[in-house]
Parts: sequence; C-alpha cells; structure tokens
Amino acid sequence: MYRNATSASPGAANPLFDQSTGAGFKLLGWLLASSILIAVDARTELLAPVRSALGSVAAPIQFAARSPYRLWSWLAESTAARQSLAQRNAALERELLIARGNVTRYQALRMENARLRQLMDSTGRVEDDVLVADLIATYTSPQQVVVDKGQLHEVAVGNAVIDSAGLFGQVVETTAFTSHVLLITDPTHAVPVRVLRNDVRAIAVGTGTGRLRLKDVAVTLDIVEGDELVSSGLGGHFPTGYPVGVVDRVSRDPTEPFADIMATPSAQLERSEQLLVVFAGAADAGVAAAEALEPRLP
Amino acid sequence: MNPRQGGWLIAATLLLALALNAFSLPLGGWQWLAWLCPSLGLALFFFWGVAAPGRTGMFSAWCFGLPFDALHGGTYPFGIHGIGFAFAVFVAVKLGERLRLYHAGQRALVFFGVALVVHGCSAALRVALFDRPFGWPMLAPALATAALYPLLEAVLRPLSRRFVDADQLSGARHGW
Repeated sequence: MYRNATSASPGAANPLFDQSTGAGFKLLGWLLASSILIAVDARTELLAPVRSALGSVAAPIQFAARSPYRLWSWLAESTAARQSLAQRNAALERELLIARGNVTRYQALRMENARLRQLMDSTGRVEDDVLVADLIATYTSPQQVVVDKGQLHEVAVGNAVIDSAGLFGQVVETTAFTSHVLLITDPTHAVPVRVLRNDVRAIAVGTGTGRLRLKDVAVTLDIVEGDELVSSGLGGHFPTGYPVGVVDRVSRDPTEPFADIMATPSAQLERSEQLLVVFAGAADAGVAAAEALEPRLP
Repeated sequence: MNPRQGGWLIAATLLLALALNAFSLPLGGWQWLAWLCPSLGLALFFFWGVAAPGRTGMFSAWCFGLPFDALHGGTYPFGIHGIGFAFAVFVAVKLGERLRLYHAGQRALVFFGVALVVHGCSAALRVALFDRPFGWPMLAPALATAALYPLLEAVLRPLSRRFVDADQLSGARHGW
C-alpha cells in the first residue's frame, strides 16, 4: 500500500491495472504468431504468393536504392576522358571481332548438332532461350543477387543464370518485376559438373567464400589443377556445357577416401552487372540432347 | 501512429530504413562490408520505443517487419524481422523510464544486448531451417548497429523533440 501511495505513475496506483504484464503477454502472442508464420513459410509454399506480392511492392525501393550507384556510373562515364573512351572502344572492337569468330564457329556447330539430332529423331530445342537482366541488389548471406526481370518477363524459379564468363547461379524466387538469384558459391548451392578434359563427373558445392568445392570425389579420379569444369546438365536445372570453374587446388590424403578439390568460379561473381537468364526449356533441351546422344556415341 | 502528432516522422524514418536496407554495396571487393551493415529498422524501433512509447507499438513493429522479410527474398522467413522489432519495442518501452535517465553510451550498450539477442536468434533460426553454416560474422551487424546507435540518437532526438507531440512522450519530463 505504501508503495502504491508514493508511486509517481498513475498506472501503478492499483496493481489490477498494471500494464507491464499485458506487454509481456503481447510479446508472447507476437512470438507465437511469428513462430507459426516462420514454420509455415520455411516448410510449405503457402506463403509464396504473399511473398511474391510483397516483393513486387518492395521492388521500386530496390530500384531506388540502386539509383545512386547507377547515377555515379553514368556520371563517371559522362566525364571520362576522350582518350580513355577511345581505348575502351578499341578494346571492345577487338573483343567483338573475337566474339564474331566464335559465333561463326558456334553457328557451324549448331548446324552440325541439328543435323545429328535430325538423324536421331530428337525433338528438343537446341537454341538457348535467354533474357538479358540487370543486377539491382546484392546480398551476402546467403549469397544472392536481385535482377530486374521477374514473372512479367516469364522468369521462373529454377532458371539458370549465366554471365559472359560462365555459370552464375539459379533463380530461387521471383516477384512480378524482380528475381532473386542464388550464386553458385553459396554453401547451399550445388551444380553437377564434368571435367572438360576427360568427362569425369562431380558435384560442385559453394563454400561461401567465393570458391567451389568438388564434393565426394574419389582420390583415384583423374582431376588435376587447371582442369576446366563445365556444367554437365544432369539434374535438368542447368544447361549443358557452360563453364563453371577452374580447378585450382587438389589435395589427396591416402588415408581419406575422398580428395579435397577446390575450384575458382569462371563467372565474374563480384563484377558482372549484366546477366543472362536461361529458360528452363533450354536446360531441358540440353539434358534431352545429352541423354539422347550418350548411348549412341562410340 | 497519428500523422498529426508527429507519426509521419516515425513512419518516414522507418521507410528510409527500409530503403537503406535495400541499398546494396557496389560489386568488386566491397561485399565483405555487407557484414557490417547496420540493422537500422531495429535501432529505429528501439529509439522510438524509448522516445515515443505512446506511438510505438509491438503491432506496428511486427507488421513493419514483413516488408523487411520480403526485401530479402527467401533468405529470411516471414515474421523473423517482425518479432525482432517487437522485442526491441518491448524492451524499450519496458525499460523506457530507466533508459531515458541513462547516458547515451549506456543506452547503446543496452541496445547492443537487444541486437545481439535478435541477431543471435535470427542466425540460429536460419542455421536450423536452411542448413546454413554458422559464422560469427552473422552477429557482426549487432555490433555495427550498436556502434551507430549514439549517432542515430544524436540526429533523431532534436527532431523528435520538435515534431513529435510532447504529450505523447512519457519521457518529456526527463528532458527527452
């Protein structure tokens, strides 16, 4: 009674109206609501439409957040010296020349491939159906980037994403205007690969530190430093034959059943601003073509 | 949040925090800095919980957490930011009278405790749900946010005094 009489707070005059217990119960209520929501969201796909809708609403914020960086790039380009622009132009022309040469070779290969597939009565598509997408946001945990193409551009979960140098990642979530791409170096990401030199197959798992580790590779398998890894197309998520990485460390311990093999990704994960989304049909076609070809090859 | 009584300022700061949350570092060697990106939403809810307890409720905090979850894609399950914000408001309102008497550094220290609990629980949940490997950098944002908190308070306190209705501020009598 003495305590109540001397209390400065009107709420404390009568213990019946003490609000502190209410706040605790409210917090407990929100904790319960959050637990249910987290469980439903993490274990089911029920909230995917809600997430997609909220993500679409949040997309303008992501575009706006990227605008200072784009403005800076634009300013840097606008104020660049004439000489540096001329040098860059010359370098691009050289690259274009090389790329044209590659395209010519690719066209010849594509025609040859089409002829072979015609001989085998295979009906899958060969052309990679791709869409250019600009990067608008990056996240580190997990290693994700957000690109400016979404459901309105027919991007879907599972689509592979590449850059000019190799495999970049895969789409894990889409909104109307944007898509989240999980990088191949994220620890939760795995991609089936084969060694270009001898067709040895393996699974490349992200390490979370910008590199790849070949999982469960027997110590006796012929993989050496410098070997190029390309996507094998197995699993159906990724198109066949895209560069994935280069083996940069092979460590074999005779007492262990598996070798410790690390690789550096081919894609410029920390630099590429423009990416290509490869549509699922193209990946399926790659696998279908590979599966169709494999038994008949000598 | 009644806009006529300064609720617009609280809403504006929270929207700014949401936009800054979406801001990503330029590519090329800067990505490690992302570990030090402060959780401005958490800091703001704690600040407004202390400065304007009549305006900052656990309901609005929880609801405002949803767009933060959505911004991060599937990285954070729905409700994870909301419960963190609600916890920050709970602590701020519960200890508000005492916190307002503290030195700014002491308040930052209390906030560090709150941020550590929130980020620790968030990291544990992501490890458990998504099989993510645990790393101490997951807790680095708590330290970065606590380090930034006194600056945030120095900027927002004069604004809250000017624009947020003093009648709603239970801390006004302590000079807040």
